[in-house]
Amino acid sequence: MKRNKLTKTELRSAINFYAYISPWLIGFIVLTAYPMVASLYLSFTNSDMGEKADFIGLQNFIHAFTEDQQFLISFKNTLVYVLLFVPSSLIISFLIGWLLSRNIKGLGFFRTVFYLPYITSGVAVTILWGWIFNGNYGLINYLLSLIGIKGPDWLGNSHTALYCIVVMSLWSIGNNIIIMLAGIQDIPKSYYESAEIDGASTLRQVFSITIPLLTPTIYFNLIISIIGAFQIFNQPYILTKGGPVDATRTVAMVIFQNAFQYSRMGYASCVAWCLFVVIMVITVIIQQSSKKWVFYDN
Amino acid sequence: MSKFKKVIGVLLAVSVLAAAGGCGQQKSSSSSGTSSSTTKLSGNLNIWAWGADEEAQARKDAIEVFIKEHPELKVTYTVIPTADQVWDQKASAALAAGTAGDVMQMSPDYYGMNTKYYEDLNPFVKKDGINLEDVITPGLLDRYYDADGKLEGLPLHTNCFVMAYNKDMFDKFGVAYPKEGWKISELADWGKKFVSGSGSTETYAIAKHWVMDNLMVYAGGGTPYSDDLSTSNMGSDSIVQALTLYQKLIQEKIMPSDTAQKTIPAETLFVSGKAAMYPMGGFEANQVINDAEENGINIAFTSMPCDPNGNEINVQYATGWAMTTTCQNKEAAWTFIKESSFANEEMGKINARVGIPANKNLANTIYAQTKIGDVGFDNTYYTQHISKAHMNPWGGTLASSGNIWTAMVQEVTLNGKDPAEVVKTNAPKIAKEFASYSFNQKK
Repeated sequence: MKRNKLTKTELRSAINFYAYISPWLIGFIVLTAYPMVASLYLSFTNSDMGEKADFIGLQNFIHAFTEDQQFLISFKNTLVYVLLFVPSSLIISFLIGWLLSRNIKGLGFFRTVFYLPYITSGVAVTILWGWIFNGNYGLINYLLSLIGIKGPDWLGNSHTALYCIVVMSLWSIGNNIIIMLAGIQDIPKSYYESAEIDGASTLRQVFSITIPLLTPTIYFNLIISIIGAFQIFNQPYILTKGGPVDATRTVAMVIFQNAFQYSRMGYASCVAWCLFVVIMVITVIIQQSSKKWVFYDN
Repeated sequence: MSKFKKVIGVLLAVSVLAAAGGCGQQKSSSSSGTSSSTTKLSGNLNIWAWGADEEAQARKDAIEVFIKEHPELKVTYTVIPTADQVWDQKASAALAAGTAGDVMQMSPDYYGMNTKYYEDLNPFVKKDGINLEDVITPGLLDRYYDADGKLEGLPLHTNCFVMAYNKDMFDKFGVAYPKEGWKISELADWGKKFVSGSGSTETYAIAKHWVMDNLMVYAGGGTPYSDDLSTSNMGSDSIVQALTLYQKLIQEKIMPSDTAQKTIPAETLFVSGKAAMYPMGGFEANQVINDAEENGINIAFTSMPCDPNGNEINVQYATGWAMTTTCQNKEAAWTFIKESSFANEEMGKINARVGIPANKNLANTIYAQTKIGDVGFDNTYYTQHISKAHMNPWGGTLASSGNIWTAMVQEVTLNGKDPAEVVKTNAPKIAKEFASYSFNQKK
């Protein structure tokens, strides 16, 4: 079968199409696709960032899951963090988003206040929380001392340090709140008016109208929060350096440490791919399950 | 016409003499008189240095001197902080990618980590006919040679510690001042006398300087590994003893835990009168002494503590320069390294602001005689003790073992675990790390 020749207009249109998408395409190939393929290859080598990069098959993966205690601990810590942070952030951002959607005085001020931590420097916020949690001079222990309680050394205690980091992270969910708020405001008023005529209480309206119609937004926030939470790095790195006794060491820290402190680029790539696969699998599971719990207005 | 030619001839001769005189003058001001190059440098030179605060400023000032003295050379430089592994991250990535500077800051406490990216400087030394021992401060050079004899860099300066103590606190708590040769194990007894107050009024015998983990590994009288780095000694009794002592010091609040002073720097704790002693590095002496004077704290100095065998426990942090294998202007790079290290007095004086300079003459004169504050302190404290100091034990290649040691310390000091058990569990892990290091795989 003879292939039809492109007309001049079609050709120009095709050239235009590729010209317009080329900045993104080149960026994707150079900055995302190539590094991904390279890191996949490196994960099967013993690369030390130099000339040495011998192919060692699955040795890195076997080492990670059978010998490297730090990797296993970091995975456990990261999972605990995700399990605590993601549901909490969704519930809190929904509650605040819902409150901010109400017709209350000073709404603009409150919206700004809740969004502000999100745009504040992460390092500054983390250091500030370090002070709040300080065992000797911290605000929390000071307040506890007023009622006669001697607070623990929050960040120096392996039983409390990870929870402190979860609390700290919850302070910066301004973006989730704004997305929730936008989703709530998108729900047609007519649904609430009908419900009110039928005598539905505010709580009933929340559970029967707001939450079901907000599920596409919750779904989006859930996916984004899970991906972000699995990559948690800044807070534990700045505050605790993964301690005490690895209690706050996360997978992203293990990747960083192996890549840039020990120059074990092959092993760091392996851990990065393990993390990628876990995030991917969880995302796919949520995506598949979303057919059952995400409702669209149409 | 011939008269005019004569005048021109005389003028030319005078200008040639003036130019030659000018060159001579420049040479004498820039050189220590040992081996400074007289070759005019040209082209580009890119320098990567590390440093923070005073050290970063000293680095910039010294490079600026070099720039002024070599106007034909286009020098670019960057000073990167070492905190939070920022330097490690940027330098290792750039070295691997071949985009690092022509000259890179380095330290022998990287234990061969980046050696493959560095030129062997032996041929340059040989070509210039320099006897390094004549010009470099004793004790600073040896570590720059690797096991194969390669000279991977030249020293710039080094630093060790002395123990600063608060005389007022010793008087207040009725404790005798520590004397040269005092033992770390004794601190567990008399250190308790300083423990008082709670929360923000808590006082300690000694601040937990960041160097403490590295010092305490020697507190039991042993060493963490063999001198040739082939075997780990981390399963030995001396490590159990060191951890037992460390546990006691922290649990009895003779020393604050890492996290107890996380947001209060150790130096602040000392200069605010909340810790009676402070291991003071040469790089911070100015600041500590000035802050103490400003706060009206009456301080004095003594040696670092000794282990049970009477050996001083001190650690040194050395800083040097290396030339990368990708360097495009080796002549300029070598001249910079040489002048920075020992052949340029002006640059050497600037280095002497932040540590014992590699320049032998300056180390014994300007550096040693420098007095800081009005407390009777001069840098001879450092020059006298540097030879007893161990190299930073857990830098570069050995960082993975160092991180296990940090976890061991936290297990005993924060979680209260039995030191013997902790050593039993973790020593094999460190032994495994040692076996995996490239220099041991070669053997």
